[in-house]
Amino acid sequence: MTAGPNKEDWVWVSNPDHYLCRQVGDTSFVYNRLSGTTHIFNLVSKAMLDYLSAGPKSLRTIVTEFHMFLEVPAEECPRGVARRLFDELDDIGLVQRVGP
Amino acid sequence: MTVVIMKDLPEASVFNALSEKRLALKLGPFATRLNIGDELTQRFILDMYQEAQVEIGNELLCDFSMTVRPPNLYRRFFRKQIVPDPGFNFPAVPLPSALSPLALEMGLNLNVALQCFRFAIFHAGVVAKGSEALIISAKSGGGKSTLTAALMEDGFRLLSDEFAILDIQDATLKAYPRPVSLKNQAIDVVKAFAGSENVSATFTDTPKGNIAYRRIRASDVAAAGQPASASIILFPEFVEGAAPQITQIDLADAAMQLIASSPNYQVIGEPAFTALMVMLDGVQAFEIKYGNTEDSLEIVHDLLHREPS
Repeated sequence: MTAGPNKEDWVWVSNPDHYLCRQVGDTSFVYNRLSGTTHIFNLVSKAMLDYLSAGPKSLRTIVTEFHMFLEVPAEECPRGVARRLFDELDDIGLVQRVGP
Repeated sequence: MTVVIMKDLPEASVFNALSEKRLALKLGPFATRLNIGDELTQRFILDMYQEAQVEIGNELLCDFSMTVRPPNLYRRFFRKQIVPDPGFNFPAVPLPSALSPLALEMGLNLNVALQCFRFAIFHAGVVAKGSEALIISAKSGGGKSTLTAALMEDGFRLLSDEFAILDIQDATLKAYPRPVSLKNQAIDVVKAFAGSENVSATFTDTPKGNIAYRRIRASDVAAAGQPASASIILFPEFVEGAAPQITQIDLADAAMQLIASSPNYQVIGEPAFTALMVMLDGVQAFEIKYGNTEDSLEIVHDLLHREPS
């Protein structure tokens, strides 16, 4: 569930200035500078954060192309999984809408 | 007035200073100005903190102030009660005056938990051998204090029974070696290996059952200025009759449990996160289960000599 309404052409980005990340084994600790909360990310969640930090993308692009960022076939990272990962970042305030 | 060891002062001078708010307790990184008129608590301080450094006078700038007082004028005289007053409004439940030392200890915990922001505070016991520290984090009744007290008799120095005090500048752990709080069956267990003479009188019918305190040691006070670095985080669980069991746990889980136990991590924010991450570097975390103190000590020895995985 997203923190608010969402449309497929809305463009989102994650700002690396808004968080700190430290890797411990396969786990990443992410400190959200805006909320002051600490989160634990697995490799895939961290990949989504990196993907969104690389530049603005529409929600449509995020759910259809995230698997390419992971370098896996689309069936190994279905749209629903990508959407859920995005929603989780949205819920904790690590993505922001930048358009349209 | 210079800093002296409390036991070197005449009893009357300590009592007067406590009553007149002129005694500053210097322990580890904190100085606390005490204002204690209650004789039972005064005697408790004189006994349990006899090895602590104190300064008598009003010159020392203190981190905290701690008053033990009746909740109102009426309760000073009728069905006497006391509350800890840590210098800010805190809704402490009044205790019968016969339990006044508990109010003191509770208040000193409140001082650190709610008024300290130069260190990240986590609810855990900490002991160390050399500069290698063991963080012991457990829910109430999990055996944290018993294990801490047992390790003190096993060559470890006490940093704190109640708080892991993480320096946010250099990610080391600071010592604040106050009396170890013992509850119910733990009292006799600790008396057996630490000696009855090192344990306070037992306070009965407290909100947590019976409570006693293990006196602070001169060696821990003398070493309080030496920081230590975390090497192991333990989550102990005492289960009557249980066979010893060690389970290595994910460091991420351990870290989140520590964060959840912290009263000030969210307030300090980024510096606390950064220091915690540095502290965790090279640390291993374990859940341990045991049925008696001997087994718990053996487990700790085993873990200390284990190769990092």
